[in-house]
Amino acid sequence: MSTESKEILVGESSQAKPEKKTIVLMASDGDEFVVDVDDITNQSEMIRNLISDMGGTDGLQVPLLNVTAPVLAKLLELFNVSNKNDDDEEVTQKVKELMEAELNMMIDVLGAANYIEATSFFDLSCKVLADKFKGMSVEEVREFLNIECDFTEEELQQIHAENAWAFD
Amino acid sequence: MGGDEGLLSRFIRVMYKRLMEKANISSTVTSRGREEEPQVEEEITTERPDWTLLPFNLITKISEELPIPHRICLRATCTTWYHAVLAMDVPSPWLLIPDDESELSDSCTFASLPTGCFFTYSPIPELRGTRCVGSHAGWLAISNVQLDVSLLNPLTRSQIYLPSFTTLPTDDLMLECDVWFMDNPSTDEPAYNPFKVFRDRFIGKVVFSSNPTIHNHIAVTLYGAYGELAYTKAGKDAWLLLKEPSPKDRQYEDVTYHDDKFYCLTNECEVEAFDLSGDCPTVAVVVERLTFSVTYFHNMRGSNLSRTYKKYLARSSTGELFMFLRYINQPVLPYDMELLRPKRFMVLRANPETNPCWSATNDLGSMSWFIGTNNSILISNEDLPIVHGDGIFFIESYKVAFGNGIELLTSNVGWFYLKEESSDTYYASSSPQLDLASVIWFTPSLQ
Repeated sequence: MSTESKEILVGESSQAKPEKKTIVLMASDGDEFVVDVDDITNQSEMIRNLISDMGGTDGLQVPLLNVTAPVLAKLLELFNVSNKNDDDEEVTQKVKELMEAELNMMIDVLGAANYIEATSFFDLSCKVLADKFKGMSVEEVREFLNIECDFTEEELQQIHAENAWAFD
Repeated sequence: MGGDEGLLSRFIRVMYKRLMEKANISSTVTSRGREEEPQVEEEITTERPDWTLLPFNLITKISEELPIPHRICLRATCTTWYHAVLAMDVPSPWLLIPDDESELSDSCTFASLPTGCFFTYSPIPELRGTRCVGSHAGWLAISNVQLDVSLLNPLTRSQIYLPSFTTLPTDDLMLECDVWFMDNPSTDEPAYNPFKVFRDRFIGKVVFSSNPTIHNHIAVTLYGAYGELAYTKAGKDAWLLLKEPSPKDRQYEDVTYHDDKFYCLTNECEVEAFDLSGDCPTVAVVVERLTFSVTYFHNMRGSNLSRTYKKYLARSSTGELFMFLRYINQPVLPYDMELLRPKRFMVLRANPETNPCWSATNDLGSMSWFIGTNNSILISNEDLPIVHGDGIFFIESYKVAFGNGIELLTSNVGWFYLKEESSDTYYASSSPQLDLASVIWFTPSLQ
């Protein structure tokens, strides 16, 4: 992984308006992402609380130990879509595309969104996944998620007995 | 429906509690062992990530976005998901409670009788503008005020269109509705819609075959002021009169479907079994009618039983037929026929194979019976942990008029235990809106 510093500017170009405040997010592999304060605090509760605890944003660097650079880049890209659109339609579509194209990445992005407490984005992504599960049989869910069935025969019987109507 | 929701949930809690007390069971709901949470490994380096390693709250969150029937599937995938997805034990039967009396809602509330658990299910856009006129094996029969009729599985949203109720054979349906309207001066005149009156007052119930498909279904409607029957099936574009060829003037009071036959109960307690699978309907009398002049059980003559009791029919999987009689006030009875202390409920049984005559019973064969606009359901008591003995769970709606001119429609879910002859109310609601849609028993199926 490159250790070069990357810059991703979220929202309007900050060069024309130097008064715009930015902070730096550090991915687990050391890559740095400069982000607009309003744009990130709009999404992340954790960072909003952090800024409020620190009493300002001057030179603030936030290390995100659980988030790799590609995942953070993808997450910020989706935040950007979310911030630019008043309704959730566009970002829902993007999350759907990500799920279909790169399920692995989507899982990591979900984990990262959960970590930085990006509640509304996280909820929206869960909804996209839940919609995908609607109408799937148990076997189809297992296949889609690559999950092994690890129940014993007795446990399976018990589960089926609880709500027999759902499995026939 | 805002504030009513709290009322509803309170009702359901209360009825559940009362049932549990009745059954003398402390609780059947067990908490799932969260402490068995699997150890989460630190490193995730495989190509295909392991979903089971995701934080618990994430899986829980995803599952909360899902309607309960789909959550049950998610729980069954593996142990981690089993523990992460909140336990939702919603065994059948359910009570379907319409969410909105104006019929504008596209959701409804389901309450599972055995656990008392309830939830709102939405969206079901097909429900908007309709009311339920039948329920059987996971499917509902619904009709709008234009009298379009369809069968709907609300969980899978599969839908099958039936011919409109406007094709029902009747001399003058609209005239009947107008007569009804004139007899009911309290009806809101500007809102008078004969089609709506016909649906809400003159459609008794729609009973239909199991696992219906577009190319294979049969349905029977009980309708009209004089209890007539009509049927339709795949490929027909109208409802056809279903009548025994004999000239006897009969009225039907209930219909139930079982094993490819429609069992129809007349006002004289005769049961006819119609087979509609062939090109022409065939019929056989399977239980003889009660003779008016003969004194039956509890010193009651056949005429009294026929006139003062509302009747419901069910057939068990062993082939026995059961009839539930519920006492209704009938002020038109001649004085000498009035009952001094009428029994409120009675159950009769007959076995067409051995003795095709009704006899009183207090035994349903370790089963409980669910009655309403639905196709009658008999469920083994083993599958109903809160039921203590053979019981009848019935839904009834009636108008109560007060002296000050106010009328209220009361919708009741009551139960009646045969052995003790005890009865109680399980859920009740009253509304000044007299054409309120009633609750209905529903047995879920994802088929």
